[in-house]
Amino acid sequence: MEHQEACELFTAYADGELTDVDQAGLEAHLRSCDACREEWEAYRRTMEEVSGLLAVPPPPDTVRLVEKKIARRSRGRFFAETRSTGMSFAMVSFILVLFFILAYLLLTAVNEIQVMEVEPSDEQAGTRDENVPSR
Amino acid sequence: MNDARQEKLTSRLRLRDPGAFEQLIEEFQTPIFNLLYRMIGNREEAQDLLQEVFITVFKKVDDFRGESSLSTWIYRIATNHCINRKKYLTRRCHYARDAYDDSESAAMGSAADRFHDRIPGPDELAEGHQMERLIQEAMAALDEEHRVVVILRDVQNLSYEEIEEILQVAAGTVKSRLHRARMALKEKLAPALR
Ligand SMILES: [Zn+2]
Repeated sequence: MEHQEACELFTAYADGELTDVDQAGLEAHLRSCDACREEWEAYRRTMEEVSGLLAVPPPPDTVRLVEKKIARRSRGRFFAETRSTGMSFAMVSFILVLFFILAYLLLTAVNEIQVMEVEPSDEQAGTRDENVPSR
Repeated sequence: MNDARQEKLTSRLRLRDPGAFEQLIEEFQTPIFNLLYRMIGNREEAQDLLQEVFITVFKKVDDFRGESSLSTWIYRIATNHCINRKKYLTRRCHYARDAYDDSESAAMGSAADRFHDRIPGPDELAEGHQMERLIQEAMAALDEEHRVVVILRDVQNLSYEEIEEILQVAAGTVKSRLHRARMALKEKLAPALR
């Protein structure tokens, strides 16, 4: 086996994917060739070092920053910055409509009561006059 | 995160459930940030890109048909963002260089060289971590297509199948790129490993 040929097998060797024949051939070469053995050792150590890189912690407030950007780009449609502001417009409209309906109902009811109060006024006036002196 | 949980999360994301979005970020920010940081070599750029990746997920989740797993899809978005940002940075460096006279630009080296100079070395961690700095420099010197494979495989520990799906290349391509990448890293690191 040539040096070059041996080096080309390193990745498959590391993954355990060589055929038995290739693996035996490579291992025999590594035993007999100092240069390739050194290369393999460096390859193995490199993999070890790269795999051993520690995870770098992500920035702390990604959720908030992303939501803020989405809110800005969607003009508050998603993740509105002050979520209540988006809501309050709808809420205010709803409350206004409710207010007008209630006001209408109330006024109608007041009118009806006034009408009722006016109709039986003669009888009531009589009883009230009788009651006054008895107190 | 297993497949069932990913599917559940995807449906909640489609409903624009803020809780789901928060969960998505919590779940993926560390691996994706590390991919971006190792690819770009600059913490601030990586932070900015991280946000863009999640914004893209939020915007495109309706287009995600589930042919791959959610995590594969997010990784693909992240690598695409990296490639675009890298192109942009190289272009910007190129324009910036045009502003200098020849001697100065020669002294500064190529746009790509300068990009590599900015790798995290300066960055806080590197001081006491000679090997980490060497690895990062060696990675920065790789072609992008080699760098991404070695990061996904050796740093992020993803399977070959996942890498094929993320990069949408054949298995043989992934393996040969990984081999080239590791051999190149070995050449750069060998003096320090002896
Ligand atoms: Zn040899």
